[in-house]
Amino acid sequence: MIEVDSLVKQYDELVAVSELDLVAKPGEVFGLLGPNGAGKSTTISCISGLVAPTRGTVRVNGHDIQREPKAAKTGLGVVPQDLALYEDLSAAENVRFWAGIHGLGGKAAAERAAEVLSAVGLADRGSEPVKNFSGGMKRRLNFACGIVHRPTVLLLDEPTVGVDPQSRVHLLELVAAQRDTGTAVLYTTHYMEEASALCDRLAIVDGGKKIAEGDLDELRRLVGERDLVLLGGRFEDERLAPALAGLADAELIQLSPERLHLAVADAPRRLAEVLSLVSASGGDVTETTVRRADLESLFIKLTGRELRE
Amino acid sequence: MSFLLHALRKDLLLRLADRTALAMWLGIPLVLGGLMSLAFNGGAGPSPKAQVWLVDQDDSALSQILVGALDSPSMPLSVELVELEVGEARIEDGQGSALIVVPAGFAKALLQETPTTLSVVTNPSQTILPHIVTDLTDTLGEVHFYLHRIVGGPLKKMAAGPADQQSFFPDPELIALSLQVNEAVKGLQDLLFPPLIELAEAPLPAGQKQPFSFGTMMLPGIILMSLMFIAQGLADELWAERDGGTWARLLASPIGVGPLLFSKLLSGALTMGLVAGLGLLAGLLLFDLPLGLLPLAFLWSLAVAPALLSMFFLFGTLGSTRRASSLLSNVFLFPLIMAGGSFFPFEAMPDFLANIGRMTPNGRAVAGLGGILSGELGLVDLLVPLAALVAVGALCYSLALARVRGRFATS
Repeated sequence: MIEVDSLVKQYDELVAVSELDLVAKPGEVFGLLGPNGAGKSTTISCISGLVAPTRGTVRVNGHDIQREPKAAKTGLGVVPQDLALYEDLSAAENVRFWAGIHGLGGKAAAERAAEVLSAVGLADRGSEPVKNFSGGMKRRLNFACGIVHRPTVLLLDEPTVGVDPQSRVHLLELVAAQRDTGTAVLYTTHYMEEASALCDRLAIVDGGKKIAEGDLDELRRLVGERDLVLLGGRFEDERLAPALAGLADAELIQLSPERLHLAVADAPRRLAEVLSLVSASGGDVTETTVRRADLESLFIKLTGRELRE
Repeated sequence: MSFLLHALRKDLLLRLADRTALAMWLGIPLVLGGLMSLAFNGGAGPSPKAQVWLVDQDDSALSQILVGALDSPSMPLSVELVELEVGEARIEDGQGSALIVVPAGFAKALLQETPTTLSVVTNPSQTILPHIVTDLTDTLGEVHFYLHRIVGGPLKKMAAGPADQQSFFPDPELIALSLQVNEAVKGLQDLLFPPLIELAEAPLPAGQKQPFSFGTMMLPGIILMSLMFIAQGLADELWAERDGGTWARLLASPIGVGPLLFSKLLSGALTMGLVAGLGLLAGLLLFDLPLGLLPLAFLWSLAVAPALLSMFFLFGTLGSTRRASSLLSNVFLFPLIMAGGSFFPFEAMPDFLANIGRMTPNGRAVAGLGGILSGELGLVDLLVPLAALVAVGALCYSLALARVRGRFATS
């Protein structure tokens, strides 16, 4: 179990994480969804004890990571965003080494290494040096090294970045399998689809702050029934804002000289009405996107920006 | 303990996998030792001699003596008597270093001190050997000049022959000439025949220290130079682990930073010990080191390795980037090697510099190893310098650990 309470991490003037609270329970995947630079990796570093928090506490399996690091880290597995492998060693040597680091040795380590290599689909490549592997294979091995000691808490920091679709699906299945064994999984990503498919509960973070939290249904309710209409072009605030206020069953999310974001009920059918209104109010539309209500639209609704910006 | 074994195994496997680096590390002492051996034992072969074609047109007793003298084994010349045409043709053809022509009447002119010309034609395609020939012939001219200044009178009389055209000098005249020469030589005796220095070889009495050898003088410096280079390379592994992400992953495990660095120290010291052992074996083959001294020399090398490695752990983590740390390491490495008896043996340094060099950690290690290999130092004598090295190593290790515990691991 992971318990993060009022976590703050500040580097000089930069606040990387601000007053973050979260709890990841055994047998669930807790997602941290946010764009690059949102503070996801810093949060993982604080939870894994690599970085000391400026304020707040982190407890892993009930042990404070700063005060009882050894006890807290005993059941912890980490799959970092950047590959953390010995490229000159074979896949099996890598997995056996990480098993040994966590106290598994001899026959038990060899058996467990074979088991996880098989689970990640590398059973027949175990004796090959890692430097010969493809990116996707390395990602899977990176994952295997993080779970070889059967952790009760697993931290996954964007494990699918740069992975081919086939390997991504495989990795997501592996994460789900870990959850099913009772492991508490903290999963950071900026892929909305992954978060939707995998996570039991989610926190959406931006600029180091948590801006929403809940399970998928709760978050969808935050979005509401309205779709998002994202318009690019040139817009005049003075004329457009009053005109949009008269648009039925709609809400203005963001209006800038180059951008207009609206939440509109039944947007696909009413798009012509919206464009006509904008045009009549002096707006010059060059780009139009309609998004159905999802996590991405929730992020846009909450921050005014797209998740991948 | 289990962790240490796993970490040791991993580090040693990684070093075995990087065969280029391993070959270079192992090759440093062998290559340097081989070069030193060549440098100091390379004179065993025959010295090059200038091939001289000599034409004796005088065919006198004196010219034959000259030919014999030039062709003696102590001279850097190999002389072959040839006809003039043959000699000229060979020089023209680029063969040999020089052609010397002794003209007819050469002996008489020498004795009477009248002008004569000893022709020397050199081969322009050669640079050094023809110079040796011309220098020798110039020297002959000078010898002739001074000989006449000393015993010129008797020589001229002998060249003129008996006064009454008889075949032989009368006995009284011959005795007078001999006495003249004898008196002249006697007057110059101290200059011409200085007291000889005789060299005698005798076995050393029991218990006396080993005689000087290039092996004992140079090998410790070579081995320690290798160990210093290896220590620098091993310290860079900290950056490799950090940049490769494995250091952070290790820190997220229950293992603390201290054991992690200690495992690096152990595996590094083992690697350095292996290289030192090979260096000593090379010394055994190349410099005929006494076999009985090698175990202590090996143990000494193994004992000093952690101190040197700790030093480079500190140098190698001082910078805020890998490149800055590498530069800093080099800033320390080369002065230490130069002052510490690896580039130049302490015996070849000015006293003040040698004294400073012996105070450096690697200098102490060189002095200790040199002392072992020369038979001057035993186990007890090494305890104090070892304690000093351990103290320096412990200090460096502590500072490096503090640095690694700081922002190094994660920044």
